Amino acid sequence: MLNLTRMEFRRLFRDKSVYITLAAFLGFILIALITMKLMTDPGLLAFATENGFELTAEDQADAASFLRITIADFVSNLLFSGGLMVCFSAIFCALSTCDDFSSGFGKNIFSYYPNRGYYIISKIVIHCAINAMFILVLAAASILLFKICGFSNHLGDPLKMALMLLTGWVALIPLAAQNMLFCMLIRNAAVASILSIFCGLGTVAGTIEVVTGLFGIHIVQFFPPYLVMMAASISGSSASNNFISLALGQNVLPDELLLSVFASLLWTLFYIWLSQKVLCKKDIC
Amino acid sequence: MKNIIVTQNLTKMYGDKAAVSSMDMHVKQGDIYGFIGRNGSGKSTTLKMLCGLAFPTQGNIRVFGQSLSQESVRKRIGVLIESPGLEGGRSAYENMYLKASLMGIVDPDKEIRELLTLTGLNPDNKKLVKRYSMGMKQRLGIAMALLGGPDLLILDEPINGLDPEGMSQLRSLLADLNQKKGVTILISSHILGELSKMATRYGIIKDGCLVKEISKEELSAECKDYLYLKTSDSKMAAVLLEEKLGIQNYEVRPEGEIRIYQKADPGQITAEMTSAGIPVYAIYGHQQDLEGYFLDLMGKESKTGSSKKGGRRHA
Repeated sequence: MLNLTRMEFRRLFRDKSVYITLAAFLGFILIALITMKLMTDPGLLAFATENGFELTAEDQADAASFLRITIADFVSNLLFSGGLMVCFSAIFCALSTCDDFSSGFGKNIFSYYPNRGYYIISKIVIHCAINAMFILVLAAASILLFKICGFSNHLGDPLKMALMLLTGWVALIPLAAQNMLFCMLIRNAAVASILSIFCGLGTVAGTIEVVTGLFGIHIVQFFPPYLVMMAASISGSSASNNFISLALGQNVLPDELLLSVFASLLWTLFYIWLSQKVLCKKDIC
Repeated sequence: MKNIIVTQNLTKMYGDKAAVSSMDMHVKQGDIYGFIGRNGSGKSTTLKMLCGLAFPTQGNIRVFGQSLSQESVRKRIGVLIESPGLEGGRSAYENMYLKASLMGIVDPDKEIRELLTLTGLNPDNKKLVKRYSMGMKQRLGIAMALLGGPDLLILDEPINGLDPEGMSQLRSLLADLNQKKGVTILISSHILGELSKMATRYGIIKDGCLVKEISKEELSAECKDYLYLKTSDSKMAAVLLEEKLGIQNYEVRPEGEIRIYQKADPGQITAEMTSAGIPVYAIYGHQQDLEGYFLDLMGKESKTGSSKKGGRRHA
């Protein structure tokens, strides 16, 4: 399995599309910060207004609140509350996995390794690695770009930020396993991506919570998307968080966090087991 | 020679339909086993099961005397099933490197270069595989199957897309591997002429059933030369052949066709037929090849399986 994982790493990190996607995300952050700079710097704003730039009251309120948030909040909103990492992980997983079946490269793997579970696990390891890379690079780039753009926003509590990034990364593990299950079931990148995003953003978990909530039962914290939102709330952005407010309406407690991490671990194991079952049921084309 | 591949009652069902049915296959060590059958007869499904890409519904497979679920067995098998499994966005070298790292080959550069050169590809060519012609992809697929020096090669239609030069190169390569390195090869192909030049043993599959396993020598013995005779009335001609010319070993086939498997003089036959008022449309000596044998066998099987009408064979 080590060789398989090593091969997947080589495949991944020698793939241009990974770096193109990362560059696009960085460009997106840069554009967002430049726009904010334009709206918050009086000199630049005057220049922009002279050149036809129109600023509404709502924009002004956004700009003012932007100056008050910490960089940690910005990162958590960007990566987790906004669903960027969930969507990225879902699309990336679907593309890289379904391609093994459509290109036929999977035949090389499955004719060599009798244990198909190795494939599932190595893929999840790879997705965790790519998620970690994106989280770290985007967080570091955000800090750097804030400084470069001359914003004086506080970083926030570095420990909380580190915990937020770690929790967010852990939260993406069961989602990666879930994405694998969809890929094994469907083997179509587009459909698997849509399903993964749909479930990853918590639509299913939220619906279940609404139904069970009618009977006074709250189980949303046992679903992986909740942990993503919990990650976002660690740095203090729970106000924009649907799940937290839906389930508890309060800040995250350590034991809750641990419980949610434990539930995520169980989901991961369940999805791996199920993915392997599905993979073993189907022929490799 | 011991058996390298043995299947017992191998069956693969897709819903109610049996793609492969109760197959007992035997591939001996050192064989170049030509696996032939019509489209949809179950060749690829069988080969997929033999290399672990599909699971049998029933029956079992032993390769090198062990179960296919053993990793040690898989490591000894090189596979090319249907189209080669390639990453289009990478070069041939990079594809080979990926497969090599998958197999845990340390420092595979030398082996990759050797294999790419051996299959007629340039190891330094940076061209992306998606821009390769079908023949080049096939060559690369073969090179990938040879990575790691397998003891058993399972090749499904490897000749597809190859130009005549490529076919000849592949034939020499497989013969070399078989004779010098003792690699056992299981190969399926529709190009029976090409297959007959290299196979030492054949397995013929029809509708998912292995109809016959036959060695090259046995095939040669069964592929008798015959005299082909076409007349307007094969029944009358048959009577004439037996009574006037003493010919016993012949076969009456549909549409006035008769095959005479014993020594006979075409001039004498024509003269006798003409004097009996039976027009002879054609008469010539014919040497049956693998294709003819295969078509004959398929024809016989169809008849056996259906109305059993048609010619009779006197031996």
